[in-house]
Parts: sequence; C-alpha cells; structure tokens
Amino acid sequence: MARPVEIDAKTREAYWRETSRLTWWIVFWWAVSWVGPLVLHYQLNKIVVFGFPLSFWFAGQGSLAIFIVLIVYYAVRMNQIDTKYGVQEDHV
Amino acid sequence: MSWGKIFSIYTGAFIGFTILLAIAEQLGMPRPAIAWAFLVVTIGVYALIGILSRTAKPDQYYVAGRGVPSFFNGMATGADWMSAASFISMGGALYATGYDGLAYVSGWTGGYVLLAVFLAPYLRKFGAYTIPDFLGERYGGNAARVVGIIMAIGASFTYLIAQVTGVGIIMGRFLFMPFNVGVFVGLAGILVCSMLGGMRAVTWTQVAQYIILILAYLTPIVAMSTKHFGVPIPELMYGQAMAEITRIERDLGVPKLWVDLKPGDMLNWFGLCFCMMVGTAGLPHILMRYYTTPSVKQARSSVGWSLFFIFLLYFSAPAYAAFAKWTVLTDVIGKKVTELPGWIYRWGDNILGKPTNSLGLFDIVDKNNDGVLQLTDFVIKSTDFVVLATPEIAGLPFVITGLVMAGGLAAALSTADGLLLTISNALSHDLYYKIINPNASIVRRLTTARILLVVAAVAGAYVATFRINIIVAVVAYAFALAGSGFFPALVMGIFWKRANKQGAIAGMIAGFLTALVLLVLGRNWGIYILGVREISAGLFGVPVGFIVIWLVSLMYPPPDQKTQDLVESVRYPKGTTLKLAGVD
Repeated sequence: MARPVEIDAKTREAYWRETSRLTWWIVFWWAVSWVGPLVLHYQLNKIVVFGFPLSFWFAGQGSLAIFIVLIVYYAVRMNQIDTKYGVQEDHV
Repeated sequence: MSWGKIFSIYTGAFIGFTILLAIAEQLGMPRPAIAWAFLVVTIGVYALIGILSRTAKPDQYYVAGRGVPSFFNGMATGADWMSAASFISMGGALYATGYDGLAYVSGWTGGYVLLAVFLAPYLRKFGAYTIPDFLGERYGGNAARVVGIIMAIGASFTYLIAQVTGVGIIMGRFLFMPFNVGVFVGLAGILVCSMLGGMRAVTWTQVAQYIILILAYLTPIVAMSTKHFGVPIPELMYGQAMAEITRIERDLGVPKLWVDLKPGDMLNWFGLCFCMMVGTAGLPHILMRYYTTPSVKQARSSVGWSLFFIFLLYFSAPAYAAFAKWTVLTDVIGKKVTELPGWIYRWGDNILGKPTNSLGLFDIVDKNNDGVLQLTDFVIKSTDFVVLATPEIAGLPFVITGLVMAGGLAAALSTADGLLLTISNALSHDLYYKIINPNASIVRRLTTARILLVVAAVAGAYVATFRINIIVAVVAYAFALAGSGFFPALVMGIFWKRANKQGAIAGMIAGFLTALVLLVLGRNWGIYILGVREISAGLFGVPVGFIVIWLVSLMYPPPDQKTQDLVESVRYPKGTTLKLAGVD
C-alpha cells in the first residue's frame, strides 16, 4: 500500500521544493540552449568556426551536447538531494 | 556471463562477419548474395534472441522484469526511437533543407530533457505496465484509461505502418523484392522478436539492433571524412564541406544559403522544434521503456544514456547531408555528361534518357543539351539517395552498402517492435484485463496479449500494402497529437496534486482536438494561425491541454485522499507505491 507517511511532512515538503527548483532551472537552461541560437540566428551564423556557422552548429551539435550535460547533471544532483533528505531507495 | 561481455562478443562477431563478406566480395561473391547474407544473418540473430527470451511471466512480458540496467535500456531506447525515417531519410531531408531541417535534429533530442525531469523517474516509481495504466490510476477510473488507450493506439499504429512501409522499401531497393512480399518478410522479422518474450525479448533485440544500426550509420561517413580530410571524425570535418557549399552557392547565386534559416520562418522553426520535443516526451512506446529499469536512480541515468546513443546518430546526420551536397555540387554539377561518377549509374533511374534503374531516387537530364550538367539537371525524386549512395561515393566496396541495408532494417524493425508492444499491451492489459475481464488468469492474459500482438502486426502490414501517401505525413502529425494529448495530463498528474479526473479528461481531449483541428485546417485548406504550419500544431495544442486541465480541475472537487497519497508516493524514490492489481 501507499506509505508516503514514513517520511515526515516537513522533510517531504523541503525535498519537493528543492527538486522543483532544480527541475525549473534545468528547463530554463534547456530553453536557452536551443531558443538562444535560433533567436540570434543571423548574428551567430556570421561567426564561422572550423567551417561551421555557429547557429547551424548549435542546432546540429551544440544544443544536443548541452541536452546531454543537463540530463547528467540532473541525475547526479537528484541523487545528492535524495541522500540529503534520506529519501533514496532502500534497495539496489 | 555479464550483458556487457555478451554484447562485446556479439559486436566483435558482427564486425568479423562483415569483414568476411568483404573478403568474399573481393573473391567474387555476387552483390545480391551479400545483401541476402546480411538479411538472413541479422534477422536470424534477432529471432534467436527472441526465442531465448521467451517467458510466461507477466512482469517479464510487460516490463522485462524491471531488470534492464540503465546503460542497456539507453541502447534499447535508442533503437526503439530511431526509425526507418531517422536512419534512411533524415540525412536526405537535411540535404534538401539545410538549417531548416535541423529543427528535427534539435527537437528529437531535446525532448529527452523534458522526459528526464518531468516523467521518467516518476513513471518508474509509479511502476505500472503501460501509460494508460498511469492515467487510469492517477485520474480515477476507466474514462481516463480509455482516452489513454485510444490515443496510444492512434499514435502508435500510424507510426507502425510507416515502419513496415520502410521495411518494404528497403527490401525493394536492395533485394529487388516486390513491395508486398517485403512487407510480409518484415512482418515475420518483427513477430519473431516480440511474440514469445514480449518486452524482455524486444529489449535485448533492440540492444542488438542498436549496435548494428550505429555501426552501419557511422562507417560510410567515417570513410568519407578520412578520404577527403584525412581525419576519421566526420562530425568535426563536415564544416569544411559546408564552407565549400556556401562558397559554391554564392557563386551560383542561390537565393537562400543552405546554412541559413528560410527568411521569416523563425516562428515555424521554433514551433516545429517545440512540437517534436514535447511529442517525444509524450510518445507511449518511449515512455514505457522507463518502466523497465531496476530503480528510480537508474531511470534517471538511463535517459542520459538514451540521449547519448541517439546523439551519436543525430549529430552525424548533418555530415551525411553536407558531404553529399558537396559531392553533388563538385562532382556532378558543372561536369560534362560523359564524365559522371559511377554512383550515379548505380542509384539513378533515368540517366540522360537511358533507363538504368527503377529505385525512385533521381534522374539525370541535360535540359539544354549543352553536354554539361546544371543544377536543375540533377532531378531528385527522393532525397533518400543521400544515405544510400554515400558508401559508394566514399569509394567503399558493396559490402558497406549491404551493411547500410542491415542498419536501416534494424532501425525499422526495432521501432516497429516497440510500437507493436505498445498497441497490443494497451489492448491486452488495459482494455481486456483492466476493463473487460479483471479476473482473467495469468495464462489467459498472456495468451490474449500474444494473439493481439499478431493481429496488430498483420493489420499494420495489411494497411501498409495499400501504400497510402498520407501515412508519412501522419507520422509527423503523431508528434503534435501525442504531445498535445498526453504530455500535459502526465506532467500535471505528477506535479499538481489538485489535478482531477474531469480536468485531465477534458484537457486530453481539448489538447488532442486543438491539434487535430489545426492539422486538418492547415492540410486541407491552408488555414494557419500566425502562419504556423500544421505540422507544428502542438504549439497551440500543448498550452490548450495544460490550461484546460487547470481550469476544469478547479471547477471540480480535488481528487480523493488515496489519489493524493499516490502522487506523494510517486515523488519520493523511497518506499513502495500503490499496489496495482495484476502488476508485479
């Protein structure tokens, strides 16, 4: 059965606040990482590095790499937050 | 033996097999025999995994016993996700559109961030078998479940038809098999993987398929990059090709450069990218993969692995496009008709009035009869030639072309398997067991699941034989519909305890209908809101879905204590979740 009560209400609230804050930060940087290079398309595409116009490079590679970094960072931070509030999984 | 060891040996064996075929080719093995060898051996391996993974336990059948380590779940998700279209067509689509097409590349990867922070870990903690399962439990009852079933099947079935069609086309182009025969051979390849072992078999087959598809995708462009620039990293070197493309385009006076956005199209690029992202995070065949990891922790890291494995293909796709474009601009355009490169004759249909092939890719004409090819003399019928012809453009032996065939087939089959399982599980678990016959025995449930799997597969293949043109467009629309219908209800179900049954059902229907109406208006009558094309209908459908859930939920009482406790328990990795009937 559902047993959320085994964690006290205060801890739960604090945990969820910190989780939500992290979530929205990740979403913020996610949006910046692909909308930014789009909005600045004409300016960035004038800068050519190694043959790549920068806006093209972001949409084809750079933003993608940032997405991976964001997911990895989220996973690592969430594990830390789990441990901090003692809500990590019992097994595994 | 560990999974890592098994798949290392498997990878080595597959590379060895390819090298053997390469030697055989030099000794005179005919090309069709090489293509057949790839077909028989790869499908044989998938079938073997399928048979070895057979199971009679529901938790193995539905969620692979929740024992798939995050790394391998990532690989399986990669294969599940990357379809025939990603493998065969994306390079070509980028060839045709340049920067504009990158909205797909960013979109189909960025969606995993949303999946990682909003859905995957919470769905894992919830621990059900299907996505309608979550909707049914969270939004109290069969109404939400039925809406979920209809949307899951609607999105997955059109997608499935596209995969089966892809298999038929690949068989036709490489083995010259009639389309309808190819479709049913593909069907057999799909069923042997999934029927006996359900999710467990599909998972490990998908891992095997990922390895083949990524080797097949990267080999030709690594060779291309090495040949032209001496560096075997195409993702780094295609910048050089792009600089050349831009220079030639400026010389030719092309109005819109390949590397630039179509003027005035920024909102559409944004809308398309957004729609693909939210759609990715709303497609049930991807979401259900995160039920299979052993823990919440591993579900989180598994999204990272998924995106990494997908990234390897997607960040290479523009390299295909750039290399092919550069080759066409330098080796074909401006050349005399007497000195065309060999790959033109291998892949072109009508070469200067002489029927050569019937592959449906491109023709060569000399419109003004000056003996020199102009830009418009290279008549493209399908940009799929980009990925198909690259091995020969790079000067590689036929064996690599055969490898590309095996890769394309792996991409189509693996996606088809995931979709088929989503469809048959929605029918057997959600509709039959949860709604029609909750007292069904385990044997009866699994028998039903297998029968429905075969029925859905045959139906998919049968519809594919009609070759309805609209299907390809409908697949792209599936993202708008899945994103608008599913995503808001799933996210609100976890992040807003106050969301209730009435709100969710209204929101799902409103989001779905908004997208559907815009799709129909745009497609049939060219009516667009703010100039946003129908493919990006989710730009409106998604916010409508969220707002309607919010407003309608507030009009009705909050969900009962049991549901609120369920939401609480889903948020924390520790502890157990609600025990669901018939779910282990």
